[in-house]
Amino acid sequence: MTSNIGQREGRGSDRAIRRAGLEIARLCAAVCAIVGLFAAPATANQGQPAWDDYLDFAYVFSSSDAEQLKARLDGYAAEIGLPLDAYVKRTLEDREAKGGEEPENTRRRAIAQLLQYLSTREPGYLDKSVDTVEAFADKNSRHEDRYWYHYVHAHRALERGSDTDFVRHVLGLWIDVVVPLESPFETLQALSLSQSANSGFVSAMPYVFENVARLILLRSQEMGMGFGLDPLAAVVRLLADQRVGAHPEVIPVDASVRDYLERIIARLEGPESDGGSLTFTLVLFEATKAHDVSRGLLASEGLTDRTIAAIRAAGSAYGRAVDLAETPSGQAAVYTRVLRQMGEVFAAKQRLGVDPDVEIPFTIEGALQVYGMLHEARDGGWSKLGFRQSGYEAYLESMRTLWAEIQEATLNTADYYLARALEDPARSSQLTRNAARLYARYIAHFERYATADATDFVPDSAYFAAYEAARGYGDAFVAYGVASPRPAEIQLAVERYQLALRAYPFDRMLWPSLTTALERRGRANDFLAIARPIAEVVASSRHAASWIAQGGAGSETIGTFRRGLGDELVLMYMGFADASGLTELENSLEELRNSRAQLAQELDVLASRREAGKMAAPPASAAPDGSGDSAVRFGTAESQRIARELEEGGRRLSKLDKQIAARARALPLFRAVVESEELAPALRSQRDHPVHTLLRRLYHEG
Amino acid sequence: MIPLLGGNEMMNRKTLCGVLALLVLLPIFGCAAGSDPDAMLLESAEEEAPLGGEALAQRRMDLGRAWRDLLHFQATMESMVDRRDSRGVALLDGFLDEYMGRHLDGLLRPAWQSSHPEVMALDANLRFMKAELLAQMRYTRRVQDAIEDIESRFTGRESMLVEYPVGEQRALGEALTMLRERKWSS
Repeated sequence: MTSNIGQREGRGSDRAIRRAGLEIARLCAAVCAIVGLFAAPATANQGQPAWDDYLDFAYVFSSSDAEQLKARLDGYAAEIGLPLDAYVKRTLEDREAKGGEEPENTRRRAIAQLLQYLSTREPGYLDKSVDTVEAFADKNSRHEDRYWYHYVHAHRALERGSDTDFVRHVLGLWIDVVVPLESPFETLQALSLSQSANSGFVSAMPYVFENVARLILLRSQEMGMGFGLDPLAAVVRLLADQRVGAHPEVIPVDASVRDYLERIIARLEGPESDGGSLTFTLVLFEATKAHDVSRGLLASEGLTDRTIAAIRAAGSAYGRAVDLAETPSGQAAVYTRVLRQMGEVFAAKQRLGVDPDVEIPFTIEGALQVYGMLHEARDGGWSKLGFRQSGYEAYLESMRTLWAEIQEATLNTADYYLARALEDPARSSQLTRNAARLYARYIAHFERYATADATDFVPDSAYFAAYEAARGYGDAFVAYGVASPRPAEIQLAVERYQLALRAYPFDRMLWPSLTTALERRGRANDFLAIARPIAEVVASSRHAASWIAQGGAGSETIGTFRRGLGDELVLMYMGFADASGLTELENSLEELRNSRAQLAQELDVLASRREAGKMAAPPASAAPDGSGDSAVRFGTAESQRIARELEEGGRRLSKLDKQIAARARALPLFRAVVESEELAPALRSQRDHPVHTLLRRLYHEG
Repeated sequence: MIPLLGGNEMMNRKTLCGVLALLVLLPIFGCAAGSDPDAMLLESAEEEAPLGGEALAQRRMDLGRAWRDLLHFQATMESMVDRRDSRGVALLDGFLDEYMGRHLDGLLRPAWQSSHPEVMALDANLRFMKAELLAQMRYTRRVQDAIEDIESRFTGRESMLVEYPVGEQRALGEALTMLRERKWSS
């Protein structure tokens, strides 16, 4: 049982982290390339590079992260021979000297101050930028000026934690800049003039889309804006609709946030959405990233302090997400992920043999409650649980995914307790009972919801998981040595083994477990009465027959069990015989055959004597050696004894024949069962294994 | 008509090429020049005349984009209404009001558009979508205005197919009946 953990745990976490790392690196390289391509011609045209040129194209690189941006600005400063702060100072002095300045100089200074803020994260620069850009508060200002006006203010809103201002400025940017410029941009594009030096700020549209996307999706989360972003879902949808990433000739796809945006949209509109809340989607996405980090550390470092801190951080992030969730849809999305984390942690604890205190502020009970809410709405009202946009399929997928995570977390956690019970005899009883409680909870959940008509709501793998839980429960009391189990507990263990056999009858070792449990109650004789109905379902199953006829997965094993369970003697062997004693059983058949041969020979002799007595009319003389082989006179006492022995021998012979025939038929079947390929490991590691479907059908066929 | 390129936008670069590009674009789009009354008159006259060629193709594109944008606005508005996010609804409401006033209404103004075979379906769909959004925002009076506008523009064409609600095709007359009911049920 404990060896199952490693199989369940593999979820490709390392791969996800590596992919994310590569993506970021590729993105940085591509942004640098773009800036190089764009900024270089601008400066080349002017001869001597100047800040004015770089600042006019700042929309190309303003979304870089602080470190990259600083390096870039330092590079420009070295190239120009003037640091950016000196440039800002100079423009202020010029304005002072001239008693005013051109609007483009004001805009450039505001951009410069914004870039200083973005590269240093020093809010003082942002305040200055806001003061400068106020010159463009008038709605009739040029589009380029309005872009920077809103962009700067949006950053300030993030810095101040004002979600309302942030939303207002992003929406303002869209209405003041994007809406009026989109049509001209498309026209210029049609004429291949969109990137002409003469097309003005219109040519910046691909960057405007990109920057707005980064502002909403990345920057807002970096600044901890985990509330009030929902109206921006409209802008995010607009950006994803043929805008971000739609201009690979300007911004290569690798350098764009398109993939990220598409993932956000998929979540916003898919089964993991909280009724379309962008805030929830972004917060859950950030939590998922924290989870990925902790998973990576778990894989590389084990349960170190750093890993534990990362797990706690991810748990807190999931906590924020579940606090935001207003619909069962959103709650299910959080629980689905947090249960996965829970399962991973318990699996790691078991695998690494350590038991640090790792707090994850969620319980499996919470997930069960959410599943219950979703289930109650199955006949109507499901759309009101946050699935109106994502639809019925998303509702079903959400239920099935949540169920799958409930079962995985339950089994992993219980496995952990059982493994700990083996290592720690002093606490064995308590730890085993913990495992039993987890199993019992899952079984109750299974028995309540896994009805014959629940195909859409319950994953096929739930049935094999029910077998694992039921068997685990029985084993906890029968095999793991709970101290002094009560008779009721043993009786429950018997019932759990029955359930396990119904859910998965192809585990050969489960049948003798049932016998052992029955023996503990002094009811070993009941084995056949309990096991036969289960065996008959398998033996006479139409679904199994059809599965085998079609050569479905695992047909050989299923066919072997089907033939075996159809024979009562094989069933008895399965319940009472040990596989290691199979040879002994086969030897006993040989012994039976020998006994039968000997008995037949003895009866032949007796029969000859009796026949000889019948032939001789006068009483025959006694044999010279006095043996019984001599002819016996009919009607004598001896004759009557021989007749009785022959009759009794005939009955014994007949019984032996039956025994031999039965064993000769059953033992090869039992051997085939013993030697059949085990399906359980594959079913445990592949929750989409086709045999899961057969198990569901078999369960409800019975 | 949407201002194509603000005059100062283009003159910014002060290059001959820029002027040439403007000259190329002007006849195609008919660029509005801010608040110049002559330009407004010209714009009004142009709007009344059916477009053709590239300009018509551009209009189709604009209408198509506006239709997709409204779909996204509607999805967002609907989800916020479902979640009773009154503050979010108010913010998006303000934005949509501005979007309609500054962009959409201008796009839907020309009369020829509602009877031009190449764009009338888009035009009608867009009007229904706008009315649906207004109903969602509970602007009953404006929904009624939109209904009356559709009635007057599409008189005698009640059997024309429109997409209302989104994803469903039905006759315009039937869609209008639904919209009238929707006006009060949102």
